[in-house]
Amino acid sequence: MTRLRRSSGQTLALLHSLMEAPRSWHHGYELSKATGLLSGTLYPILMRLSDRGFLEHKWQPSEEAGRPPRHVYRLTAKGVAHAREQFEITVEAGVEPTGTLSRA
Amino acid sequence: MSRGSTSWLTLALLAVARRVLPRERGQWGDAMQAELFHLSPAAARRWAFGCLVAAIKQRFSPMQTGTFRINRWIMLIEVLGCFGFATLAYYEFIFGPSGLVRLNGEIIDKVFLNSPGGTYILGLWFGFAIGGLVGPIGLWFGLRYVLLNRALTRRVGIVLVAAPILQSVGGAVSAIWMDTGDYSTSLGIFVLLTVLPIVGILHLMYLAKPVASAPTDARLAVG
Repeated sequence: MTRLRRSSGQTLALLHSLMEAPRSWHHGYELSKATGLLSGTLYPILMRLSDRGFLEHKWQPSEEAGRPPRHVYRLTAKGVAHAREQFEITVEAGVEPTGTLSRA
Repeated sequence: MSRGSTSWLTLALLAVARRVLPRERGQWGDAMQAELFHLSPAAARRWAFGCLVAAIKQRFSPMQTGTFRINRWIMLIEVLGCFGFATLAYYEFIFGPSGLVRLNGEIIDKVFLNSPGGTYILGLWFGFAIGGLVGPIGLWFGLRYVLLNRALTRRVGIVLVAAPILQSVGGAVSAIWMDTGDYSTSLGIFVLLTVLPIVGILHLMYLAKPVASAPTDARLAVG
């Protein structure tokens, strides 16, 4: 039997942010602002989640004229299930989904 | 922010980031750059700097999965290289024709205490009698690993690393405070008797770590 390992606080924060609107597409800066993660932390997590099939991404035309298309992200069905599993084990461990320790 | 108003520093940071990113991550480099043109100049600069950090992490992350677990025969060569010279030097210093065990009060008084730098040399000699033990002990543990695949425990490793460091630091401090005459430790001696044994010990300590098995299920290894 395999044991599920708890993700890092930053990964949990990102999963939490993506799960707030799981069917919507989010761009990098929006996720950065929502989670407080800087791009140096955010992109490696996005890449890792994408490598494991938890995240899908596409290019979306910009709403503002003259701006290039943006790379946008959302969780796959597998990613949503993974996020739920992660939230369950963090609750069991007494850790908030954002990665911070809960106050008893 | 449009492409035209993006500062040269921001563009340079991002260009370096895209260059550093592994080739298979090229699409992510495009994503980082596209995001840049939707941000204010100050935010774009911070974003570009973060992207450079992310690119460096991506460049280094495959290296972290590398291993220093080398072939046993190559390990034997390494062990002899790291500890062999130190062991021979230790034997010579202690049991050689002019070794420490042949010293007596008369020789110490005549040769060392009454010559410039003699006290320093004598101090180094006694220091090496303790710190130099890393040579034969390291050789023993190294050969034990080669033959029995048994590595070094962390506690013993720390002691064996600390000994030559303390000896070298003590020697350097003594050289500053005492009249060392024409005598001083050369870089070659320092490398052979201090640096190489420490490298060997650190490697043996690393080999004591359990092998990290590759995750068989993506569930095992996230974040």
